[in-house]
Amino acid sequence: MSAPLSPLLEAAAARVADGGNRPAAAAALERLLATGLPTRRDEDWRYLQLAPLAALAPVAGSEAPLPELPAPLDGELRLVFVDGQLATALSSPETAWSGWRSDRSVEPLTAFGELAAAIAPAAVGLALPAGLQLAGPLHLLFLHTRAGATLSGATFALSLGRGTEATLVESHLSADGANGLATVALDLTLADGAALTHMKFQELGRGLSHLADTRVTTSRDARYKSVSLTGGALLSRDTLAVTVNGTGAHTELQALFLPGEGQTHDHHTALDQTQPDCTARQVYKSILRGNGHAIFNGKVFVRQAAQRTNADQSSKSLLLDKACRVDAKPQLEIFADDVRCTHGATVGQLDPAELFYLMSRAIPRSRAEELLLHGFAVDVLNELGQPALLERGLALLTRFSEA
Amino acid sequence: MNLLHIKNLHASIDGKEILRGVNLEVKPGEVHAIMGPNGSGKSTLSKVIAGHPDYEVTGGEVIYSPQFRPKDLLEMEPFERAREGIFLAFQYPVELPGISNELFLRASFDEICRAQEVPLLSDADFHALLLEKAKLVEMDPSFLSRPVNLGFSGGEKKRNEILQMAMLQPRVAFLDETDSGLDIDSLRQVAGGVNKLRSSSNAFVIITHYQRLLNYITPDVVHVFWNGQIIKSGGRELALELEEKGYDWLKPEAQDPA
Repeated sequence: MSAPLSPLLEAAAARVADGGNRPAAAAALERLLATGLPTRRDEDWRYLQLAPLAALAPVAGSEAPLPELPAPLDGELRLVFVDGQLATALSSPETAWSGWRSDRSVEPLTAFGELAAAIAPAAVGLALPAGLQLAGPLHLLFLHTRAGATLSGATFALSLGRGTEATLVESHLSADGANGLATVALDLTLADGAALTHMKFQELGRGLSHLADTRVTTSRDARYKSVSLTGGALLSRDTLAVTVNGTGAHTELQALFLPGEGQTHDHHTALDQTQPDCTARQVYKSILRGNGHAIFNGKVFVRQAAQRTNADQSSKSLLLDKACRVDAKPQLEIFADDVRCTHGATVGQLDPAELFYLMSRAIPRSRAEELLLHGFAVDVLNELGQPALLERGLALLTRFSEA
Repeated sequence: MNLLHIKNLHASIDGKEILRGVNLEVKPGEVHAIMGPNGSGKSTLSKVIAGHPDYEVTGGEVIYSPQFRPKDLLEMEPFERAREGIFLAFQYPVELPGISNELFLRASFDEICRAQEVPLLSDADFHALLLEKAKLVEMDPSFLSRPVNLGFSGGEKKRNEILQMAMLQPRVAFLDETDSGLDIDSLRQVAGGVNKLRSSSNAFVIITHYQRLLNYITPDVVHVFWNGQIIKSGGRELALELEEKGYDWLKPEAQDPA
């Protein structure tokens, strides 16, 4: 390349070299350098302020104390990444999971995913064999502790064998004062009949930008369910792509994103139905405050072979202030003729009649608003299932409604 | 002493005057019925008393004396009025998607307990109380876990209003056309609920088109509302007279009130 590299890409190249040019990292860097970082001219990135990220000159940063960690879930297998680095001291004992360790490399979806794969200190992954039953959820904690314009990347590959059922919880948390660019790339594969429930809590501080790729590949009769809660970060971009490669599979994608003053939360999803007789349901909801900006782009491809696909998509936004902005775009591309696909997008405000009804029952306005937000979000939150996670989701919503 | 005293109340919506000098005195233990043709402003009166933000009070006052301490009701926020014991059973109860009836009532009940400085109930005690009150209006307990009014029939919505009233134990309750759209069984259930809640310390103002509801709830006073005012008041027999003769015979009196 003739043009000089940006400080960000230069730093990425230096990290790959420092890491001994691991083949997966070097390959990711090569792809990243070939495409470069996206700009607003790219359709999939047009709403994001990417220039400050591209211009970032990463520093090592000064270490801050760890954020408070959520209490362990019942029987959980915990893996903690601190600024991208697997922290064995904070994780479950290695003997509890080393038997399933896998070095399968992730296949990112975006340039930021390639960046994560290039700079991640190591490829971490698990392959859960057929019939394995974990005692509890697999809990990945991605912690960010450094102040200064830091850059971090982490990757995780998870494979579920035939018929294996698992729960994956992702927590993204940061120390007070942590800032910079946090990238992550996940690659999840489900063999025939496998089932994965995947819950993500993005609760980073406002100093961080979060760019996350999640690639999911499912097979015959597999069930993948994602519940993604986005509360933190200045800029948050989730790119989720699910490719359904087997018949009879079911996919469920749910999200609640809560951009407040100064925040942008972007969810780009792509669901690719390639085989017949599959079902899918997608519900993406956002609540916006101040000049918060919510972006939803939901692509659904129904390939010619994917006859009798039954897929619903809905996106709903609730705007609490005049300066909020929503860009919601469903995008269905259907090549099969015998399918049932629906989609709908609504944008609304709190209903004055509902507010007055609550207030006429002795409930002050602030509490009435909180109840209405809860009513709007509850179907997504209920998908969290277990009480400890539901409580965490409710706390996230309460913090937002009290902000 | 009056529990509620409405004096020369004027109110408008979007600059259009609807209430044109309403006077009404309600004493503890009384049941008042307000009857009148469509568009006479009787529903507006109940909304203004509850503090509906769409209406602007342009004159008059409303003195509310729940504990023998007079309060200027019009100075209070809607939730403060409710905390102090004012209740409006809505003509069109509002649906609240995603909020269960029990959660809604719990939030409301707790606010009132705090305001009245009464200890909060445990979840179990609250649930038991709710079941007891649901029985009063013959409501199936399954309605308690459903979102407020969502998918309820007309009668179920109205009974749900009476259930809320039973839980919150107001001092003055306005029932805004609670009887409209009810079949005879629902009417009987709603009226039965009201009758069981009547006491010497609270009062009801029942707004209705028809005297049918008054066959089940016997009022102490009947008022005729027309053109934003009460133009005639009388006893139980006035309702029967209205049923028979309609409202037109009263209209000349409105121009020359006695």
